[in-house]
Amino acid sequence: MNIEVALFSGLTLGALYCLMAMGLTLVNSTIKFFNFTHGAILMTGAYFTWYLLEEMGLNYFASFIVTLLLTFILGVVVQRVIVQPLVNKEASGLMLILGTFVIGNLLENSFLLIFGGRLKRLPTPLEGHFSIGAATITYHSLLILVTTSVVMGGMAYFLLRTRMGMAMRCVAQNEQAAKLMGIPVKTVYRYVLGISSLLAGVAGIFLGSIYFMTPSMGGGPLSKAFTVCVLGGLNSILGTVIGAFLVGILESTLTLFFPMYYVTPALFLLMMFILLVRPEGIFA
Amino acid sequence: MKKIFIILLIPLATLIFLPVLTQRTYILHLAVMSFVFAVISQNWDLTMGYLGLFNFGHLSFFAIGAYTSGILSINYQVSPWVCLFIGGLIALVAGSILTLPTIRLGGRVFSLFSFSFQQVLFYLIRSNPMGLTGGSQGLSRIPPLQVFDYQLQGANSIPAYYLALGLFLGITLILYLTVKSPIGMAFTAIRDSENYAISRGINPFKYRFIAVVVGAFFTGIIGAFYAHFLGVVGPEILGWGNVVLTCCMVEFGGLGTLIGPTAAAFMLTILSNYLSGLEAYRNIIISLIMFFVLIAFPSGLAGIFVPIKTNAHKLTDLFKARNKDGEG
Repeated sequence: MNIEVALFSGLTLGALYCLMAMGLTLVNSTIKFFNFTHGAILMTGAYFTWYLLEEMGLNYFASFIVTLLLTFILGVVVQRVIVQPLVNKEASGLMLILGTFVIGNLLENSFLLIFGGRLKRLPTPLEGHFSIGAATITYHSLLILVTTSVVMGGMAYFLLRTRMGMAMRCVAQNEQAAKLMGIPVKTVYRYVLGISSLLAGVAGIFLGSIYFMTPSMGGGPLSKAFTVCVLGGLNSILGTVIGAFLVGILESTLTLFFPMYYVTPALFLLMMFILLVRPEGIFA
Repeated sequence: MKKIFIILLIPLATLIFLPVLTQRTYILHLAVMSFVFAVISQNWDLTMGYLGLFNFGHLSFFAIGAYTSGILSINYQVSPWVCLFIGGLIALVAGSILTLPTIRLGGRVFSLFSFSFQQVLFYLIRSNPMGLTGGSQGLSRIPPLQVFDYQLQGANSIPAYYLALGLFLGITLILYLTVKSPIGMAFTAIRDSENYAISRGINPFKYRFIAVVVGAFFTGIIGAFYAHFLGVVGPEILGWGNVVLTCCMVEFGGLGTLIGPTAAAFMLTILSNYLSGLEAYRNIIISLIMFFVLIAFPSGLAGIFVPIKTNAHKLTDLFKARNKDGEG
């Protein structure tokens, strides 16, 4: 392992964290809570793709698209079932966190019952690799980077140019005023959760082909995504993107110098430090 | 209020005579675990319910108490009774480390800070620094507390049961008196309207500090007791499942009521132990119950049975208001 390899794998990690954390930031800036189903939805993304590929025999591209649809629908369901009822009751952030965690727990355990706890691995669509200098780059990680860039571009277009995206930004800035201007806040919430789940689903598909899939695979990436959100600014998508790549590269370069065990606590310590020095995030 | 006390006498008497009523160690074990979790959720309620301060890392005090006590008594042969106290003290120190820098930065920063504190602690315990914490295996063969020749370890030891009951009742009494005292009034005043409380001469930072630190101390003590009672501690006490189960106890029972979280702790501990043979089904059942309670009774069980003065909406408005303050 040398620095080029670490940098490249950091970039790939950063792309995955970016996909995760963008959804979290989207929810956190509009509905104002941390979505704890996010990890479970990531897991469902991986499992849906696995099911479509292995059991239904679809090809990779088709199952990718169907998974996106399914995770979007799942996000809308989460919004209908738990988020909106609690928001209607003016529940606290704590209750939203607990509620979404409970739904996540439900999903994880149902998937454990349906698919079993055995380790699974998603096949990669592109085999092979090439090398630049000392770094070996697989086509798969290149695919991850390209897809993430496409998704980021799509998000930017969506948020800056479309009506729904603008409505989301309005709700994020001032919910009361948005309501007064006739923006349907409930619909916005539905799209917010749908899109953030879709992003988690994409992250899940890629994580499932890099690491192994288990029903509890979402926990680790979720807590990393939290550090990303805090680092990059809780309400800024751009900050989150920068923060994600920062955390990814930091993580993989730290593993060069420290044992693996200490890298995650080091990231959390960094998060604590940032919270004390700059509570609104570095790039907010 | 008098009626409540009379109603409370019945479960109290049952608990006092439980070792006489049944010899089954499983039931006694469940009772002791319920005492432990009742104490944790009461102390959590002190910060979360009475102060509206969402401390996500409350279980880290529990883990700190358990691990300090375990490590000291295994590696340095300190008497377990002293360890009980030291465990509480170290948790208190951890509580002040957590609180002092963040208390002025608002509730949101405090929650995130305590959350990451707990994560750091969890990973450190798991990574087994200097071979002290035993990694993911946890600590085992923690020496028991001793009175004369009695070893207070395991549920078949009746003195251990009474020690747990004593700790539980004592801490409950202290917390109850605190909550009814001017200090407790200050807590609720700060929760309900911080600015008004300040204008009446209440220093919110001081009282938040007091609540967190007192909660940490008692949680640390009960953590140390837990370690000596079971003889083993593992890092899974800081795992997601445990954190959320305990948090649900507070929420399920009703924030800011003390009695609600206590009752909920008993119910959920017994339920989750009873279903423990079913693994995945157990989690599904508990999640479904939580889901139902969250949707149907947002102010918890206490909201149904005990007429409480604070209404949940005020509290939740405050949470929202604080969230919005945090952005600006």
